[in-house]
Amino acid sequence: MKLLISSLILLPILQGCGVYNYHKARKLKEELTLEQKRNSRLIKKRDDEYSKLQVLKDSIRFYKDFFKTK
Amino acid sequence: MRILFFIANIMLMFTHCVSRQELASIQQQVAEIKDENYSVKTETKGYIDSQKILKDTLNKLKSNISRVSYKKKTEVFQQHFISDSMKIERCSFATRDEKDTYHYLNYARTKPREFCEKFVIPYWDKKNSYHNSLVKTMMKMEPVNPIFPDFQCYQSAWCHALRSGKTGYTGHARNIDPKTRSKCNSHFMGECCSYGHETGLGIILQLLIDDGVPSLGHRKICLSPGYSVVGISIQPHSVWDYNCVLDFM
Repeated sequence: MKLLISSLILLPILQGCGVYNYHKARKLKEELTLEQKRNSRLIKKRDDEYSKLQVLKDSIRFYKDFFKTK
Repeated sequence: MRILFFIANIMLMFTHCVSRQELASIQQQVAEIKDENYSVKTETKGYIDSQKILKDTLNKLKSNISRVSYKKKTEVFQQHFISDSMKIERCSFATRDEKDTYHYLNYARTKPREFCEKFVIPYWDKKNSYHNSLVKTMMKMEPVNPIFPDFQCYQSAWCHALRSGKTGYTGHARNIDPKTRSKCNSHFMGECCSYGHETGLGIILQLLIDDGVPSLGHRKICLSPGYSVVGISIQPHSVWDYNCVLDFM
């Protein structure tokens, strides 16, 4: 009987903590999803900029070669 | 029966619970991805900065190439100008190429339409706005007075061309010579400096086209009726092979 009473008092407290964590985790998961999307967008932008940089480097190499041949 | 029902209810409520361990792992994941995003952002910024520097270098190279290719085209006109202007021919201080420069300058000033048809139109790059505006200006403009050599202007131009050539300087500032601590005289109202050409026609065409100078200052000076004398000096240049200074008065 004592065990039943003590569990009746303790269980809601434990459960309350669990629910709080659940809400926090849900928010964090939403944030994680957003950050993942942002990450893929940023990586795409980085790759684009990197390819532009390579094009510029190639052009400069081409023009420098042009001068060498002159 | 009641106890079983109670336990089942409690179990159902616990399905909405998250353990602290699980929560910590999610927090760690979020922190990791934020760090990664920051590093990717920094990397992208670095790429953009490098691009700016490379773009500047590329523009400089392109402008140098346009000078070189134009020089190659004008090599056709290496022959000396045959003129009836004895005032220029009798000029004792000017070299053959400098005399040519006087002649071509006067040709452009006194017969702009003819000069344009003969020397500009055959090499007309229609994609280049500077070429287009030159053709438009020369075909419409009225002839202006010829311009003749002047010794004082020549001295001023010679000194500047010589010093610029030795030091590899590009510009109009009269710098102090570190050895003699002296400065070139400035005897001019308008000055044009040309780099990379040693022939009269090459110099005059470069100044008239004025590629890369939005104000078209050199073209305006060369075709201005406000000047009557000029000093022209062509000297070797340590960077551009040759430089020519024209001091107008």
